[in-house]
Amino acid sequence: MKKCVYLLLVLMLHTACEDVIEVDLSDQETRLVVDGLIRVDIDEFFIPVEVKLSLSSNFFDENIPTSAESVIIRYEEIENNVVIFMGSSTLAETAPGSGIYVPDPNFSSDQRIPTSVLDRNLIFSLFVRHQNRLYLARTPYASAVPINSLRQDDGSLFNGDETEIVVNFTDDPEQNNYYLFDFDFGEYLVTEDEFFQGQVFEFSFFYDQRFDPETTIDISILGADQTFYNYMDLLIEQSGDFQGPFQTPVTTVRGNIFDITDLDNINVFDNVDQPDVFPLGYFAIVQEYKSSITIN
Amino acid sequence: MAYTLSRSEQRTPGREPFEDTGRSDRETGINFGEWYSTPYDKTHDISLYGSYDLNKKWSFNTNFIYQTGQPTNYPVGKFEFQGLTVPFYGLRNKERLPDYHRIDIAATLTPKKNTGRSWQAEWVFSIYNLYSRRNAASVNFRRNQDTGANEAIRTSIFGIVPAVTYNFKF
Repeated sequence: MKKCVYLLLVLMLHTACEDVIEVDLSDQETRLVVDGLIRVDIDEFFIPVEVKLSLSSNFFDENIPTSAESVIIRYEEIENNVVIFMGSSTLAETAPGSGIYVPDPNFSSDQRIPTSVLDRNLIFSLFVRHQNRLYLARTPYASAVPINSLRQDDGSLFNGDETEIVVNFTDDPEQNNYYLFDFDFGEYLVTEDEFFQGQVFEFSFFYDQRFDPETTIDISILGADQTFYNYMDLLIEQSGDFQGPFQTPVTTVRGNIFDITDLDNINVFDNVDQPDVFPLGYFAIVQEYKSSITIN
Repeated sequence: MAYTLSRSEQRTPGREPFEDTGRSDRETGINFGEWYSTPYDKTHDISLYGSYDLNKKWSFNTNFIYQTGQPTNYPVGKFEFQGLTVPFYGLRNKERLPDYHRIDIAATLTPKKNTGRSWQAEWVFSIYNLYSRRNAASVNFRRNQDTGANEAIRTSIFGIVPAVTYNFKF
């Protein structure tokens, strides 16, 4: 009898809830992916413009870099419907086929964008012409605040195998802020200042792993506007490990880049006339403050 | 034996605007406003039930259930953004989970000493999901943190579940 109970227990323990299965993903769509998050260090002289283009792939394969006919960033300040300041930067591929676009070094004039223009109230536009389609994204510049301090603590959440980092920063009291934290290792977190407007805010972030002593982790705080905050919030959720058996329906997270090829009025460029025509990714120019911490 | 053939669909068209957001005044709705299968749509639903009284002491029961897998979404592709791997999806509820089926068996023992006493008892020995089929409750797609490869994860609630029950009446 004892043996029997033991056998039953073993049998039940071996039926775990989760396992990896083969799924035939037949239906495929290839779309342009624009990774255009530009992180600005305000102390540098130029904005480190770099836009990555690739084509989306089957879920189990890698994205393939793709080249565009042209990639241009335009920036302008508009007051009372009049453009009072403008400039542009033509981008070129770093190496043929790399899909990485930076300000064209071979252009007749300097195509880099100085950080000094960020003092103005600018709207940046990204134009991408790719396989005879024209894509456009518009974004304002979003500032951030520096991280006051990073501290390692020994708290844990569930299994005790986590690493706790305490982040401390002071919110900008002048405006409603949205922040994106980049915790390295593809770990991101978004937050908004609704409940700590203008105050010092401290929170803990838990890595689901233990690090070797002397490991250095880079942690950044990035500015964001509301749409970029929403985008990253959804992106983090959709790319997340596990949303539980009661998750909300999965969806396609679209960014702020639109296919404007067939639109006659680009002032209303939000794709409801052609809801199935869209690229993926996001274009944002945000301030970044980097800090690092050494694990002990 | 019971068999149900059914189809369940729903439609969620875009709303009319209630405030001017400065952007478009139209929404596309879910699935572009077209009809799509509800998450509970089961085309075929079959159940077979068998019962056999061997003698006064022993009786046996079994049932078999088969249901078409419920509608779900599998990614039609993925993209990478700042080191994040993000699956994206096509039209709503186009795919289906693997079909659901299982067999349960039970043997009921009614002891002889029940006769003539007020305490009526029986023992039920049963096995749920006899062949331990991993019926999927959901299929999730994620990146394996250790290998970096993308994988599909099936979540199944119960495998085989043996049980002993003691019922009594007084």
